[in-house]
Amino acid sequence: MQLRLVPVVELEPTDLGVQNFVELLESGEWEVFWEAHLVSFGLRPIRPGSWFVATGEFASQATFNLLARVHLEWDPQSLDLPPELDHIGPISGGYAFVLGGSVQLEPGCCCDLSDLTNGARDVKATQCQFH
Amino acid sequence: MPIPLSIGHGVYSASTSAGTTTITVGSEQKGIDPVRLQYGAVDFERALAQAELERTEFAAFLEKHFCETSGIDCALQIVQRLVYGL
Repeated sequence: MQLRLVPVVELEPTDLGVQNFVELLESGEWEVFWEAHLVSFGLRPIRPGSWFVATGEFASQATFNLLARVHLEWDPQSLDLPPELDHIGPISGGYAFVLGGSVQLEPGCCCDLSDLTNGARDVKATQCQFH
Repeated sequence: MPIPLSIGHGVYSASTSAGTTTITVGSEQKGIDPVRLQYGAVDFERALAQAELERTEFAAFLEKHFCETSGIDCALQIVQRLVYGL
C-alpha cells in the first residue's frame, strides 16, 4: 500500500460558523453534518468528521477567500489590504499519514505547514547515519 | 537512536534502519504507551518528496490569488510566512 504525507489545513468548526459542534458530536450527527458543511464551501475533510482538509482541495477563488477570511481575518473581496507581515503566522495544519487511502495519523494541535522541512532533513540525516 | 521529527505533530520521532523507517508517536499523557508505525524507508522518503511538491503547489495557488486579488507586491513574502513560516 502506498504511503502519503498529505499537507492539510485545519479548519475549526467555529471559524465556519458552527457553534454546536459538541451537540452534533454527541448526537452522532457530526460526520454527516460536517461533510455537507464543508462541501458547501467546495471542500472535503480528509476523513469523515475531520477538521483537516488537504491543501489540494483549495483550488478556487472561493476557497482562497475562505482561507483568507479564516486565517488572516481578511476579506479579499474588500478594498482592504491584507494584514501586515508581522501579524501573519503559518497556516494551522500539518501532514496527515495516509496509507492505502486510509488516514492513520493526523497532526496535533499547534502545528502548521512549515513543519515539513525539519522532518525531511532529519529523516535523511538519520538514513545517512545508518548507511 | 530516534531523533525528533517535526512534521506537524511535535511528539513524533523517526529512525531508519535496515531499510525501514519507524515513526514513534509519544503521548503527552502518562501511562499511555507510544505508538510505533513502520514504513519502507524508500516509501517514506518518496512520501516526503511528494508532500513537499504538494506544499509547493499550494504555495503557488496562494501566491496567484494574492496577486490577482489584491495586486500587492509582497504576495510572495506573505505566502512564505503562511506556508513555510519564514
